Amino acid sequence: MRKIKDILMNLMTYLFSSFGVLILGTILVFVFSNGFSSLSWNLLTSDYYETVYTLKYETDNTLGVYDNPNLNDSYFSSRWGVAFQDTTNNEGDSVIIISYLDPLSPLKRMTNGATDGIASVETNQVVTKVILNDEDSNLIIGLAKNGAEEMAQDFDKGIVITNLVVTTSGGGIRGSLLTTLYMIVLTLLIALPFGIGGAIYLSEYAPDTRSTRILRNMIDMTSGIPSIIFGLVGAIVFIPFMNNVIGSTGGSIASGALTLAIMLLPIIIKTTEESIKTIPSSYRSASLALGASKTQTTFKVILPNALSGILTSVLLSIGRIIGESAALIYAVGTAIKDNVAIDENSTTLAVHIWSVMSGENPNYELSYSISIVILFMVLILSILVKLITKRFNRYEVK
Amino acid sequence: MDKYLNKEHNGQRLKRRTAEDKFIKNIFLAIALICASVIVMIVVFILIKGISPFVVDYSISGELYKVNLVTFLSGTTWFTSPNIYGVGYIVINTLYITIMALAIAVPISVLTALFISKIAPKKIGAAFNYVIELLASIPSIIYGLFGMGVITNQVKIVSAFFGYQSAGGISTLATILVLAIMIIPTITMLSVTSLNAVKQDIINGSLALGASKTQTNFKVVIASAKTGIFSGIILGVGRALGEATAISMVAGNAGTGPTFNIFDTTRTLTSTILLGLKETSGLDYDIRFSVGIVLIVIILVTNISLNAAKRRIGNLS
Repeated sequence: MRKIKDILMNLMTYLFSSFGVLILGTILVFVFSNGFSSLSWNLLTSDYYETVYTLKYETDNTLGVYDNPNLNDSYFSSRWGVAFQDTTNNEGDSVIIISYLDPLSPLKRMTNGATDGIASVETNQVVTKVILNDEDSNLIIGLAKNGAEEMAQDFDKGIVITNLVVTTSGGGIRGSLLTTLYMIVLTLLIALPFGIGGAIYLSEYAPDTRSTRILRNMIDMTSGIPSIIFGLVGAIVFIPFMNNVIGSTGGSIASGALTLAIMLLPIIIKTTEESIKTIPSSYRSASLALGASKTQTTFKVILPNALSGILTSVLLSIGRIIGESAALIYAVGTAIKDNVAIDENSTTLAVHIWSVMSGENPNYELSYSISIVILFMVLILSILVKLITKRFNRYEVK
Repeated sequence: MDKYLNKEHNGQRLKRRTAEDKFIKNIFLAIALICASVIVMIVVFILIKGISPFVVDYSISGELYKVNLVTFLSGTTWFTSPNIYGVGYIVINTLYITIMALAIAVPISVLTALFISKIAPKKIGAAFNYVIELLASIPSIIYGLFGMGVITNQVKIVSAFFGYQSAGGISTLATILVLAIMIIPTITMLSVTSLNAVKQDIINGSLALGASKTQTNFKVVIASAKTGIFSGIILGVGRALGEATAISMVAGNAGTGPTFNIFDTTRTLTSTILLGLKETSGLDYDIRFSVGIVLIVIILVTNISLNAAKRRIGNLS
């Protein structure tokens, strides 16, 4: 009887504890299977918004002959060295994209109709319309609605391109990646001096009095405040503050960084303080006995030895900054930008997901791809934290 | 003479260094004070902005309006044009969702922690521990995405099975599940720490008295780690109450309530603050800060009462 009960209880434990693994597995499988196909270098480096270019190539191209790469579903124009493919864009409309471009293709040396500068088409750009002239100066008009096959044939007929309308594919996250980077650097620049300073005061200078305990409690309480409240504070304190100081209008990366900085202070203080605590007091005594002042001891003995803790706090903070969304929605805004500036609003990767998911037509595929990027960063950070703690522990045993 | 001069020089140097030490100490003190004053700043600014809907007149299409505090606190409809806001049902929803999420998360977390700390072979335990740590570091927006992409679909199927038309799976149940998944790592991590700290003597004593290993695990080990497990639960509740993004993606922001049917849409305090944000001024914006005050008060009250409960549990053993 007891045995049966024991087995049942154990079985329950196995079942319940496999739940965590199951969840992580499901999330990973789900995100990767949906987002991996559209994750590419192009996604990371291209702009979010589509840009329309009007290009022309007015030199005679009668002699052009290029090798057909024989791509599936693609139609090749051997005169221009370009292949077209029928596909659908993010909104589900059918479009024609450039699927292949010969390295020597004249389309790489076109003239921008608006600026008269040299411009090049790229693969994955969308072709909407082309106007060509053939040998007898007859007009040939190719339209996207006729399909890729006819587009390729139209290209083959003409020798001069008088008007080619292409659209960059868009949907990229370059701006958001940059914003995330700016946010990390700026937040840490603000938060680290305060966090480390506070930790040094609490562990090295603070007398064990009531007021110190109150100080400590106040910092602890800050860590219990949910991030959305920090967002509210950012919206009413830091946005106006930054508007006055750097002349921004509305939310900016700077106001977001200030908000995240006060949010991260408790973590930085705690982690740094923990590592300062493990420094043997004999180090301090030795330094002081050698004639160093308290200040010298703090800066030349305590700080270098607390480096692992500071590094851990930096990594933990980076993880929080990458993942934070609620606070930034209020303290910065949700408008996705391609041109990133510190005194303007923009989205980090997490808020980018929020922006594309909270509209009328949630863009799942892009969100999953961004999620893979975020998960990858988080994984690397967690491995780094593990490595640092391992080294740190070895040092402690010594 | 030379010696004398030197001595004086040394004295001056000492004085200068003491002054420098004092100066640096004061700088560090100032930094620490700034860090501590963050909480004061948060409370003061949220209070000022959050109280204004009840005391200041807002101009809405030419007429001046205030919000009534009593109807705000007891309301069962979030917004009735032009100036009636009700947050009472949202508080009930939030607490209901939190309790339900705890009911799912606590057993799973405690048993997972028990498995990691006492049952599993060392290597498997470490691997499971790492999985939990990874889950803890996944940002909430990804949990929200997971909720929208997977959980709501499953909820839709289940509710259809019960013959209930749900709003595409956006529901209380989806919210509860997402929240439960999010707080499992928090509770598990603290439980593992406290289970690891259970003294081997106690376990040996139980085994010597003839209890089986499983009986010991469930009746002795968990019982002696309950204060630590409770700390984990307190942290989990804090995370559950304050979670905004993930919940907002699956809650549906119901306009009235409270919602107890798990297949109906719901609205929590955080989703109220986050969703439907259009303008950054006016009554509809400022009232969100009032909701913020309510959120802070609820977190504070639950924290204090749970901590009191923890002390009582600790005293019982």
